[in-house]
Amino acid sequence: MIVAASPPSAPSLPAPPRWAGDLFLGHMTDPSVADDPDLSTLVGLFDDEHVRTILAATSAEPLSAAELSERCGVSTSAVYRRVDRLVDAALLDERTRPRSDGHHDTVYVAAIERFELVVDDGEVDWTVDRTETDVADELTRLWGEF
Amino acid sequence: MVAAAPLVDLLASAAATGSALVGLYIGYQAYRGLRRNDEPAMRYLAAGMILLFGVTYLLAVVGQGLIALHVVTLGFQDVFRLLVRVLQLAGLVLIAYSLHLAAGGRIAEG
Repeated sequence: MIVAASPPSAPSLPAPPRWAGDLFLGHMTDPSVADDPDLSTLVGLFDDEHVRTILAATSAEPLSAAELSERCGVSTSAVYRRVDRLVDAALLDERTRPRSDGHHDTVYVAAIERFELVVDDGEVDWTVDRTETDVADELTRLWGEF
Repeated sequence: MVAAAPLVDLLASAAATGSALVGLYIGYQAYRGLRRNDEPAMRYLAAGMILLFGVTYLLAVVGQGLIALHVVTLGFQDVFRLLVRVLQLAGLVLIAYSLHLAAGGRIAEG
């Protein structure tokens, strides 16, 4: 029986506080995403056409689930299913975008830049190159969390 | 101990320049945060940091220069000092306002 690999659902604990120096030195590797997800999880995600559309669209500009549902031509719940898996695999980042009425929309930004499978020397290895978190975005996020 | 005074002056100037540069760097990142995330709180943070570190530093340097070059009399030193303090206060008020904007955004969100 083949079981589709799904990323383990991360407990919804608040992220551990980051060392304040990270803000200035630019070393913003989140400890929870230091390990790449399994290859089957990644390949399972990349195999999905809508996942690829979501990653491509959010690599150009931050988009909300509603906007992504329009781009993919699927329901918002279908978008949320994929977005949750992508966020769990640290391939997608969540951000907030203020609305004119003072509320905030959650928008998504692609966090992956490159996926590499290396077959060499009797081993198969893979790496995910993630987009570097921007200092200005981190400052905006931290300031809002005070 | 006579030679210590110029060295202390130099170190004080270097530290002042350093804090102005770091303050402006944070202000610049706040400005980029405003452009990238459309976050209004970052506008006031950026303006506050630039006022607090950049403008006051510039004013202090200009004031010192004008006094050293005898363009204005030493009596103006207190005027410059007052201006710098007022601008520092204004910068801090902007930062405090920005903090309230950021906190207000979170309340509206939740």
